[in-house]
Amino acid sequence: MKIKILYLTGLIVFIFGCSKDTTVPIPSPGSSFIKETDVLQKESKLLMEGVYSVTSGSEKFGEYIILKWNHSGLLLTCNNGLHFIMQAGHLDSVVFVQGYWRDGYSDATGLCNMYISKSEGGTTIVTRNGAQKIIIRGAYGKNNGLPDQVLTLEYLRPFSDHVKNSNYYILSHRCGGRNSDRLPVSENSIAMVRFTEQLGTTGIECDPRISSDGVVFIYHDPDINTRLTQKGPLAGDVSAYTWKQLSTFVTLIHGEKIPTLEELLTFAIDSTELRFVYMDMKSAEAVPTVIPIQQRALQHAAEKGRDIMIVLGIPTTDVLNALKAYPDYQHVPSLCELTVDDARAVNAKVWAPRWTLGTQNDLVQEMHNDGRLAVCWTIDSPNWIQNYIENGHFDGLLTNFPYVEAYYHYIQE
Amino acid sequence: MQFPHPYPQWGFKISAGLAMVRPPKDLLENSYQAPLVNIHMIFGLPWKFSLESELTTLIVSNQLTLGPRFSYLYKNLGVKVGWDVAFIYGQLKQGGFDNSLQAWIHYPNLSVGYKLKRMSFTVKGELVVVTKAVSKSGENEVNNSKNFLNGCTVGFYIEQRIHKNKVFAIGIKDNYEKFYWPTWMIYTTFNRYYHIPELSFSWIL
Repeated sequence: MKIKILYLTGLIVFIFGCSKDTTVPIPSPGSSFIKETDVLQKESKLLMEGVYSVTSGSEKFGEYIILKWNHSGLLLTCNNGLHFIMQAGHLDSVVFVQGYWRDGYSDATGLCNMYISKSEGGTTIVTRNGAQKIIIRGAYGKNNGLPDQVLTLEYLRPFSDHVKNSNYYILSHRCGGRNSDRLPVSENSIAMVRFTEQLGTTGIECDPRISSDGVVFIYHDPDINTRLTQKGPLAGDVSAYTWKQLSTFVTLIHGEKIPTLEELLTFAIDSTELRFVYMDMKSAEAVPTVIPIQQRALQHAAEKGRDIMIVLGIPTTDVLNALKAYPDYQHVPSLCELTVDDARAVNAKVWAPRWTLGTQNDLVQEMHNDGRLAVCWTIDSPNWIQNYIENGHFDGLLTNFPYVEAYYHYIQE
Repeated sequence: MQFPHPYPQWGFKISAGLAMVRPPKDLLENSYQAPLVNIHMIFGLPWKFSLESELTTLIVSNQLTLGPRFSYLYKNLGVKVGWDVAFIYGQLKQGGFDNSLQAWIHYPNLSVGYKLKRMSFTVKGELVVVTKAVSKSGENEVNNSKNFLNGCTVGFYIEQRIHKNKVFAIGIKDNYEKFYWPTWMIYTTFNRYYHIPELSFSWIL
């Protein structure tokens, strides 16, 4: 009897000790003032972009902040994972900027309200005339609390010619972010593709798998689990189910449906400004099915005049061999994670080594000499992102923290 | 082994056990499950002091702790205070990886226990202070952290005499930490605390 009590106690404590993973909620100001403002013209937005010095608030946000517009709004990003997801508009000659900040490495977040007065750059931005002297004043807060900490940014310089002229890709993992980053949308979902541009992403990595009836869909893990999905009737090997079963019964953790590869590519082409899609093949069997989808997507992109690279990722020799078995495989745009010789053997457009192998500048130069790009994966530490951008010659880095990569890319002189 | 009481001078006790750990999904996305093997030794010293040492291993992650204790027993109630210093060594050379870790962690700790005739109940709390943690991939230093409060742990242990002098112990421990040493090889960049439950079973030999 005593032993039973002993076991039971242990079991109950263990079960209740398990913690539930959470999402960091997006702070809500209650009402959005930005909706009442006028939209800024493209030229006005470009005038705002650049490097700002932080004259108040540098103890939290660092010495400099990068301001960069994207498809959905405005990103302000720091060197330490702190970033602001903002919207902006103008009333008369005053520019209003409103949104929230978040620390990508922790759960810290809060509201932020800022403005640019007429005399401190508002008139220049709105009329696109005059000296480019911009001071952004405002405050930030904690969670849903009223912003009460002063933040002042002063325009320092535009992006360098090196940055403006480079064809650099800020590549985000799993369509833009992992579930463990506690973003408001699920990894490998259409919603994530929409969301990730706000984080500074210019290209995405996704994870194609194939269903038992031959439909290619985007999903990272080999099994249906509560890390990726809400509790439902299906379990076990995700590829053992038909597409109808998956699309009917599986809901991603934040309520989205699993996308097909076709849906994802169409969305990326039609509804974003992304320039790179890296299909990290999770199954060699899917290769012959993925290639025609890739070809149709590239055709669709060409018709729409979209400059977007869509490459078939080769992470294993199984996938490499499956590609080699495909007719005319050397004309399939691919990204090879294996050796440079493997990349050459399949005429890969991109060579993508693991970051822990180092910057490998000699091999990157060889790839460039061949007319190939080189990107590396998956690099998350701010120090290493800085190191690889400053000392490496890669054409892009795959990361879970695109705003950090954006900071170190755009701040280059 | 967990219940606080003065040990006989120069006396020696040893226990062996397993601990099942469930790291949060943020750290380990795939549900790798492997038990931590644990050897715990106590050596009695004069004046109610003792020296405790623990070796915990997962093959690729290993921790060796050593630290003094002072124990006091009043009727059925025992109290023990101590300070452990741990060295952690990890190496992963399989599957194309060439990763390693060396770290030093301090665990100041306090235990309070109550004993019955054949059972004892102990609550143990400890602070976890990392003084140095260096992880490498090949020759690249991936992380070099120094001197931070990593969190705390709270454990509840039941020890029961099963047969003659053989004692079985079951414990549940909540590690509330940022850096959980057995998972060093994933190089997490998150700066947030996690509750990591640990269920342990051990035999006091």
